[in-house]
Amino acid sequence: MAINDLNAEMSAGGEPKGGPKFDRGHPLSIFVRDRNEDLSALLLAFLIAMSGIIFFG
Amino acid sequence: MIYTKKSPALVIIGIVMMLWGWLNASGTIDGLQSTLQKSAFSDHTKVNEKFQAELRVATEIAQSEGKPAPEMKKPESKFDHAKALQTKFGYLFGGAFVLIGLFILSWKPSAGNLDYYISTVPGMALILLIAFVVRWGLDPMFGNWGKAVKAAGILSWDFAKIFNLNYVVMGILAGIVIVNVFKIPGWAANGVRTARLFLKTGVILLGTLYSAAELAQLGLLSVVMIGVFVLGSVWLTLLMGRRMKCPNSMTGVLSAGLGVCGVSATVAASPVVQAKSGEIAYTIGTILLWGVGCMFIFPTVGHILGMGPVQFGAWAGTGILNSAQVAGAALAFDPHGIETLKVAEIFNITRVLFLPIIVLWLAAWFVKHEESAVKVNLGEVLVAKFPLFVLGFIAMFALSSTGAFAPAGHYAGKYFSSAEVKESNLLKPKEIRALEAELPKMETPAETTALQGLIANRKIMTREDSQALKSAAKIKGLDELAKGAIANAQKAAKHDSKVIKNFRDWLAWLFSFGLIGLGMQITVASIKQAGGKPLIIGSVVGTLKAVGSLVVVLMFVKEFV
Repeated sequence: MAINDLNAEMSAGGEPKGGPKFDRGHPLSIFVRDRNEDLSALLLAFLIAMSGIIFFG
Repeated sequence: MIYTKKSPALVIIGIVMMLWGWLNASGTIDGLQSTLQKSAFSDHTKVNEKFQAELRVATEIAQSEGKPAPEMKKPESKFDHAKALQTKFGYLFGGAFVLIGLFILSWKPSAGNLDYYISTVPGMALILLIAFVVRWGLDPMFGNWGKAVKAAGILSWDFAKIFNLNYVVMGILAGIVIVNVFKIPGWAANGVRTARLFLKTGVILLGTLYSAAELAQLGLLSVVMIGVFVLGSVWLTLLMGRRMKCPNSMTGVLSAGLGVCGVSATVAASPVVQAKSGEIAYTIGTILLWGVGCMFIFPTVGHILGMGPVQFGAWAGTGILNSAQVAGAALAFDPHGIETLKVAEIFNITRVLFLPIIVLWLAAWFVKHEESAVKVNLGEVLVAKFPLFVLGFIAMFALSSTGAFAPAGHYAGKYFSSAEVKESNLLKPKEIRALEAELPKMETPAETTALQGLIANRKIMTREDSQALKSAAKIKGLDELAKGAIANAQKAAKHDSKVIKNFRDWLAWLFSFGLIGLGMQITVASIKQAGGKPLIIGSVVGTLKAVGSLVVVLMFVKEFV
């Protein structure tokens, strides 16, 4: 897939247009622009924060 | 559909990483590492010399008492720590990538979850490998060059610092070079998509570095002045963007960059307004170029107008867009004093604290204008489309303000605590005598009380005393030993939060990863698409902000700060 397609997919709207794409309902849709991506980022950040407090606090 | 592409690339990346780990562990590249990490290596030499001396004394004492030589453990220096980290990362990630790579080569993929997840690993490994090169190689290398060029007198300023040649900018540049020169290989394309997930995680964690208590210490003028200029710049950029018919995503991301403070604000706001990678690069480029110009013009104007350190610090902290360039301009104006730099940094900190407000504003603005074609309920759309990671940033900021990660009054993990001063850092009798002799020279009752407290307790007891002693240390004619004693006491009472120090390390890795992935989506064509309008908006808003803040500073700052 040309990078311009990838660029277009990941930018405005973020809905994949052509080329390999992840289905919206699929668990891996965390990697396309979606609320799932936000939720995954939140989960990851809070895991890091918690482990920071547990191991270094 | 099958997403995983058979390629030996992942195995090769894994082997390279493991090799790097082994080279570090065996000490084969100690020569190279000592050149790259100069300050850590000089610390390492000092730690070694101190250890050898202590061991010699302990051995002599043991021999004189007829006992066997004691066994002492060598303390770990920063250099040892850096090498251990590179070894650990090299073995850990390299080993995992070799195993997954071998699995991909031998596996017959079938459509499903495993294929989806595995297909992202080679791209992530490629970004991580580049992140290693940038953070462990290019970043320290350019840092050393910048200092060397300045020390040699070729330039009077550190070009690496001023042009922001750190891992943030170099990560983006590395990505841009790779995509425009080599193209992204097919096996890596899906992994590159994960970049934004890690960027968002980084933005959420950014909230842990700041604390609301910082705002209370800044004073009313800096908060009001910064608030007016930050919000005013954002408003003006949004207005001009709409008038000049720029895409909402471009206008949104540019307003955050021009209003708050450059690169981090641009990155934080970009997912909120769904900015394209080219637009983010354009904004960062505009801000950095503008900042470089300001850095040379501001000090000259400051000297022509005969501004004092407080006035110039306030002006630079408000008018210049990027944090490093604020520091550069302040130091260019007043290379020998710290006052200008301190004031400029205070104003700069205030600006960063406006980031959550701006992000919320832009989220609402973007939803309203993107949905304007159809009559919709703004509230409903906001609930449906509001970027949740922004709430994460605010939640982390709130947690940080309650003292969950470091004492509540901290800024970027640094806090004051007299209770944690080690016995070995208490002032020595010689220093106490020097301070006692200086008591009559104190100029204010606060300074006298603070110095008496320091003499009685051998350490600084309160934050107020710390402030008073800072001004006391500047009194002319003060004995050098007394000055040194105050500096030692200040250093002993300042602490770094271990938790936040670790968060900062994580943040650096998350941003490195995310920005390299971001750079990999920036093609020359995408920047051309952005056109010249954003540059015009940037110049107008930047100039108005610089001139406006100059007028306000000249009129009000003397009386209030």
